[in-house]
Amino acid sequence: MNTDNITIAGKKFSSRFLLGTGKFKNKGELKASILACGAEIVTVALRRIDLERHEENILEYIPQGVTLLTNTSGARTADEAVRIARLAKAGGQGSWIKIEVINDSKYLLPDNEETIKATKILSTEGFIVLPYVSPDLYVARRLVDAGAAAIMPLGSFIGSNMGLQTRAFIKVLIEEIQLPIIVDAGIGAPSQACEAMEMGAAAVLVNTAVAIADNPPLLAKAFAQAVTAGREAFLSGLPAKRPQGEASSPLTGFLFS
Amino acid sequence: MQINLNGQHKDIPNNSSLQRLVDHYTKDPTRVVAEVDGTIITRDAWSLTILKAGSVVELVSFMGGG
Repeated sequence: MNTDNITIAGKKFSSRFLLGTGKFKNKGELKASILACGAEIVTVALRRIDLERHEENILEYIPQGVTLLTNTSGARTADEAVRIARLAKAGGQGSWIKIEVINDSKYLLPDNEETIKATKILSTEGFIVLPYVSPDLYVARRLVDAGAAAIMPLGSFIGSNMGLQTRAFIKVLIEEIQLPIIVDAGIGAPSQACEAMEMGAAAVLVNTAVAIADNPPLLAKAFAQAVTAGREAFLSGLPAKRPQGEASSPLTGFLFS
Repeated sequence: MQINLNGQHKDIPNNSSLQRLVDHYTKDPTRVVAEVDGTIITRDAWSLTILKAGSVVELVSFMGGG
């Protein structure tokens, strides 16, 4: 029985793989991917409805029991993020919010300062707040004080598939911050997700890589397996690297001595 | 009368309710969250909310996102 749960805001999850729901070619592939990887938390966005045509309701493709984490994508300021969060709550899908405040359209890097402000406001209002930030120790400490439930540092640019470019800085957060550290953004391959987990990350969130793969459910499953492998490696107490050879067979009793 | 709906000017009949507007633009109102002039209107109040000329209405819903 799996007892290695991750607890966020008092709620236990057995899966440490979070899936984003954007960019899937069709909703059937999305649903199959969620089922294939066993994600218990998935992100969604909030947008204006299309006035010209009927759109499918994405919520119908998300299995019952999965926790919805609504992002505040599109927000450029703390106030805009707060507004999106309140709309999401009014939508009746709970109060889990991934704060995403972005001003820069080239690199899509988060505005840490506005994110701290939004975290403070929303956690006071009772939201469960998971802020998406560039990994920085002081920012993370302020997010703890502001009432964040977990911290989501970026591995690299959103949608870049470049992996853990920020590994050294994420490692600092893992060592110094008591909240779950969930690596988000830029994770493009299971090996990269595995590395984050081996390092001690609490969980990993992936969207683009899975959504644009030729076979999204298969890659979603591969990611989930990599996350489990990385987690178990971390718990095993991985030995350190050595810059020289170390025999793995006995060094006595040779036939030729 | 004219209102602003999701950033577009729209002509709607005088004294239209928010409920009527939502029903006109979506077959599945359960997925919609409505805001009128910056205030969120809960679903049970849609039919009681009468729009005015110049009202700024946002109808949003959940979509795929990362």
